[in-house]
Amino acid sequence: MIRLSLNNNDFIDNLSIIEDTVLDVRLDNCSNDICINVMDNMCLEVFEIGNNTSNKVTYNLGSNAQVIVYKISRNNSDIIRVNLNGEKSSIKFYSSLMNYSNNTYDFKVRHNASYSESDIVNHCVNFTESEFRFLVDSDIKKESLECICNQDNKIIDMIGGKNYISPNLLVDNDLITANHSAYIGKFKKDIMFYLKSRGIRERECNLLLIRGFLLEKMNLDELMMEEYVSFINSNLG
Amino acid sequence: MLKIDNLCVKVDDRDILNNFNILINDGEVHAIMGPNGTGKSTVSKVIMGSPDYDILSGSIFFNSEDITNLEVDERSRRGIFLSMQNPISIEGVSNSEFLRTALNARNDEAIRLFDFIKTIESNIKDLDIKNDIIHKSINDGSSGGERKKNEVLQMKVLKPSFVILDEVDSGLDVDSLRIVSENINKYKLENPNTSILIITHYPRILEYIEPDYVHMMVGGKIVKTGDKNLAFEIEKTGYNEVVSE
Repeated sequence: MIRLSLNNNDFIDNLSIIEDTVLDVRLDNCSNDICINVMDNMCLEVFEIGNNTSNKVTYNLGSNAQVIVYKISRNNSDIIRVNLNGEKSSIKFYSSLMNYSNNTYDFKVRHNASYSESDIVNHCVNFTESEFRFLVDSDIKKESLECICNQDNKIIDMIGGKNYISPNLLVDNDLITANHSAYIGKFKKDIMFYLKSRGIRERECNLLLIRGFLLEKMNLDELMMEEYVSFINSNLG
Repeated sequence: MLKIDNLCVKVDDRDILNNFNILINDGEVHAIMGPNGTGKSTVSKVIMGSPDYDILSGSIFFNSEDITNLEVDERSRRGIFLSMQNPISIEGVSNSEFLRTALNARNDEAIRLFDFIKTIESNIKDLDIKNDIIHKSINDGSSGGERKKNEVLQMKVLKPSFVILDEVDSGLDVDSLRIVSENINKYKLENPNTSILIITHYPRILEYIEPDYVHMMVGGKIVKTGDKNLAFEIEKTGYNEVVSE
């Protein structure tokens, strides 16, 4: 397993993963077009922390290739394209976004091969009255058999932002498993009551829940978790 | 300790409590029994300050302070604890982070990690809870019994002076009921001024945690008060029979 870093100073527009790789991505105020090709049987794990980005990132996966992305970002308008081109390719993509301005996060995954799997979890906390959109398409072609496709999109609205989710499952095949969920709203009242009933003040309740919501799916080691928590704490309004 | 005067409460335009009165002194154990829908759980949530209920009239005093309009978290920091009937799960928030935040909210100084771990380890052992609970999200994937034990764990860590146990016995098997009751009794022994209000359908738990008073509640108010024998009378003859006596 090799470890690579990618940041603003690396003008890479095409990256081929030819052995199992961990990729640390740190991007700040940038708008790039990056294509990542994960070759047959390779694994790629991505830890991405970003701020004010509007990148286009395309992932192309070969047969039996596996990708896991743990992404946390502030003010993100990225366009993500995932092409599951090889049989048994799979992607788990966990995006946690903190929103303070008008942004659209545009995500498309295409199942171009049989037995391919996608698990797309998009979480956003909108802290302001600005507009935030999740556009999420999962596309399964007719010839792609027995695919598994999951989508989970949630936006927590803190003070009355304009929030939209457009979740689409475009399925042209009966032999697949697909799930999707979408939620826009505040933290639930009964959860707030539970936390407050243990003496926790409203502001602290919100901080606990925001961190929990953004890190819920992140399977990180201790050091990486510290970095993600620190990013959240430093970007709380 | 706790005094409720002529409390009238409604939810969704339905009257639930109707001139409800109770006085619980320091160190006393009270139990409220009553048929379904009579307002027992409403009493517990209203004492805790749930915003789901409208208080039409009446007052709640805790240690001589009128807490009727106090926020939920403020009531908790004054020493009131509600062990919930259906403890919810909260994904992404670990028991450890939750409990440390709750402890720090009620103390001027943040608890040291070492002290926190020692406290948790000893209580987890007493309650026969799996060690990894502390790193797990609150009640995530837990059975009903594990959730009730987690409530008692929180009680022991936060050290309240007034404890409400809302159907703490539901969802517990025989062994778990014994363990939970032993832990509550131990806590009471170590903190003799702590008062306890038990809300239950069945007298079984009252065999483990002996009440000083048992109240029967019907139609949103207490209609009869006695000692623990009242609970066994209710079980034997039913609520209707006891009311008509």
